[in-house]
Amino acid sequence: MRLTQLIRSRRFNPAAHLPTAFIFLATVLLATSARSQTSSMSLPAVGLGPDAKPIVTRCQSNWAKSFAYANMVATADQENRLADVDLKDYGNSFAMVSQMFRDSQRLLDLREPAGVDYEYRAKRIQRELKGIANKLKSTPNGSTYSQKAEQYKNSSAKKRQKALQRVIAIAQKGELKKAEAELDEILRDVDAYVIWLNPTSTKQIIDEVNQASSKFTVQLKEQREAEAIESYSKAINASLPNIDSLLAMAEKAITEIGSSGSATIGRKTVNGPQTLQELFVAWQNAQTNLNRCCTLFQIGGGSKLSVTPQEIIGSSLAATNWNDAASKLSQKMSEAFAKLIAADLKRLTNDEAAKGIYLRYLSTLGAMKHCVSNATIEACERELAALENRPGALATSIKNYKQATSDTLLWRKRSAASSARRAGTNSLQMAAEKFKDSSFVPSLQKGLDTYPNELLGTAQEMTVHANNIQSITASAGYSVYDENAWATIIGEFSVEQELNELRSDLFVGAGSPPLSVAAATSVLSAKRKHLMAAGGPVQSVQVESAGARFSKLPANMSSFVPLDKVHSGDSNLRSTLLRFNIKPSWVQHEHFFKKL
Amino acid sequence: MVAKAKDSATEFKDKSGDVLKKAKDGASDAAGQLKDKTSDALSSAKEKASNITQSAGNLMSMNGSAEITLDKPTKFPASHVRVVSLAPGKSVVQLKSYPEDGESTTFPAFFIQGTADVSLESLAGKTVPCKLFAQTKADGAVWQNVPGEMIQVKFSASENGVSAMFAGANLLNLETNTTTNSTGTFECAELK
Repeated sequence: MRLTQLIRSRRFNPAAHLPTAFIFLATVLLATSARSQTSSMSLPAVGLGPDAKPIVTRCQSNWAKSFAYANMVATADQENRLADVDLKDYGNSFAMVSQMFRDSQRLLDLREPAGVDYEYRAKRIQRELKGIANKLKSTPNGSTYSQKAEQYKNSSAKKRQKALQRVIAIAQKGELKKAEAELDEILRDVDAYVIWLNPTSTKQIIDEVNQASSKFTVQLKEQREAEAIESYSKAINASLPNIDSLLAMAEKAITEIGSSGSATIGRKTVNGPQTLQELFVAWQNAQTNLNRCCTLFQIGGGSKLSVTPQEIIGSSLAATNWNDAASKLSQKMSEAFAKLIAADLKRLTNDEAAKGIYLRYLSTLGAMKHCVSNATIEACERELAALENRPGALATSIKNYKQATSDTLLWRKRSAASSARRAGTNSLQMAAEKFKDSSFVPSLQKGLDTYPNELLGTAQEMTVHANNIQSITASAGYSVYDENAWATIIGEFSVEQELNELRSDLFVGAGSPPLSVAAATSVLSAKRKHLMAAGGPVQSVQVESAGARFSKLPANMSSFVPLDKVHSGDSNLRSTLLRFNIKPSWVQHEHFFKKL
Repeated sequence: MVAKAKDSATEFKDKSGDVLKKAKDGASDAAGQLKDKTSDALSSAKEKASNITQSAGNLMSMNGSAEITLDKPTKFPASHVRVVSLAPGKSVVQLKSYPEDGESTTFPAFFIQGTADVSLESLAGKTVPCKLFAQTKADGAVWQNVPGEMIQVKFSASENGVSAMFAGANLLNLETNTTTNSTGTFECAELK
């Protein structure tokens, strides 16, 4: 039915007897400034099944060509040059837009966010091309072209009708996608001239096409929806957070560490600090999977899927929703970490052995500090402080070390914050407010091609800083997602000198490790370039699909969403977020500031 | 009246930290008020007031005093000195305007630290190269020694403990990026 409506709405373009090769390069070059340039943003395919990616690729291609042509025609109209317009290209562009619309519906059936965007784009370009059709028909070329279109409709009738019969036969054999592809081929020809026909001829063509399409469109839509449900359910089952087994594993490990100082996790035999590390990594994975599953569930069809939120989250947490699950998991893991440390230290009475384990706990906690809540670290610190209350040299060393370093850390933090204030950049959230045009973020209500270019232009004149930066490679990092916005940090920088000064201030060197969680965290985060903030000029701004971003959250972005939360309680195909690409001109570690 | 004196003492404690626990029975303002009263009922209160005055006086000397030239000569509410042993022959000397470790609720605040082979007892007569940080209000600009230029802090013995001073030091305001030629004087209470 949708196809019928589409054809009916199209009073387009002949030229079908001509080859369908277009001189689009020239068209693109001609497509100058009648209207503002389109934004180059687009949404990628989530691509859980095999069909979506090729469809999105075809949409991208059809969009680029039809947009360029529509721009060129609009320019010619403004300059009263419509008589010069290549009418063959007009028809072919319309055929491309029609294909883009059909493809957008298929993407929506497949639960692909890009379908929302391409539906808007197709409708817009279709409207623009149609808006100029009567003017083109009234040109001398247009009049001739209409006659040629009628002639072609008649001369190609047998061939077309035979092809449509073939489509019906294929559909009756149950090969629905093949039938659809064959009909697409016919429509690429028909759409290129149907607009030039008289109303009677148009109706005849529409009836012919309808007869063929009615044999499979409804069933194929249902088939795609079923495929989507299956592929989303499958993706969820492949990303289950396995929270019940994580909590059981933690409980078992704590008991083992308490009794013998070693635990078996998987095939590994590990000591207390290694257990902490294993549990932390398992928690991060569970959290990443929880975010993925939450998104896959919400955009993939919710209750239509073959897996329920309860099955995804498990029963141990007795959680009522996704965020409740993340929050309760965080609480349980914090408790488990503290219990693990307490159980381990309790059995260690020897000062030297306790020191060794203590230092290893510091390294592990230091590495995880920027990924977990302060409450988690504080719970662990409280257990570690038990060592300070024991008589002996270790307690004195720790107490003295804390006295000798905690003020330095306090003042380094204040100095870094003071320098960052001087840098005077906008915060990411302040900047995001400016770019969150309500038509695009947090919910897509228009095609991304219409995102205001003035806004994109101003982005490149802005300096922005993002908070809580995690480095992935030497030249790439990301900020933690917050309120529908995040940033990538692009470009290599070194903090080697600052790290050395920090180590010196904290009396850290070969054979003299940091003796407090705060100092261990400071040094490790500097080494790993985990930063409080990074600021600099914005290279670009993009609107991203929340579905595509979170359903495929990579493992090396496990800190993208804080460990006690999921990204959002309510995503759908239209949900979006803003991404800023920033080239840093300064970085702020918790305990130093560096101008790059 | 005594209750009022206790309230004042509590406020005073909040501002000055744990060192003032010893003074929880009184404070100088309250003591002054108490002295002015001549009520019959006050004979025992007078005795208490006398004790309070004495405690408060001790407290002032226990907290020390400090002045550092920032954008202008700036007085600080207290000055504490501490030497922390890290290893044989290696100690940390700290001067600071607050008694807690790693936090401060009272501004203006400063922190000075250097490393030397000293003890509290042997500090007088020593000059220790130090780093300095100061801030006049929470989230305000931070002053610190120009990177690479340590402040030379000279320590001497004084009646109540330890005195310290520095002169001709360049301090950098991190928000304005301007330097100030600074002097500092400290009468320090010992922080255990």
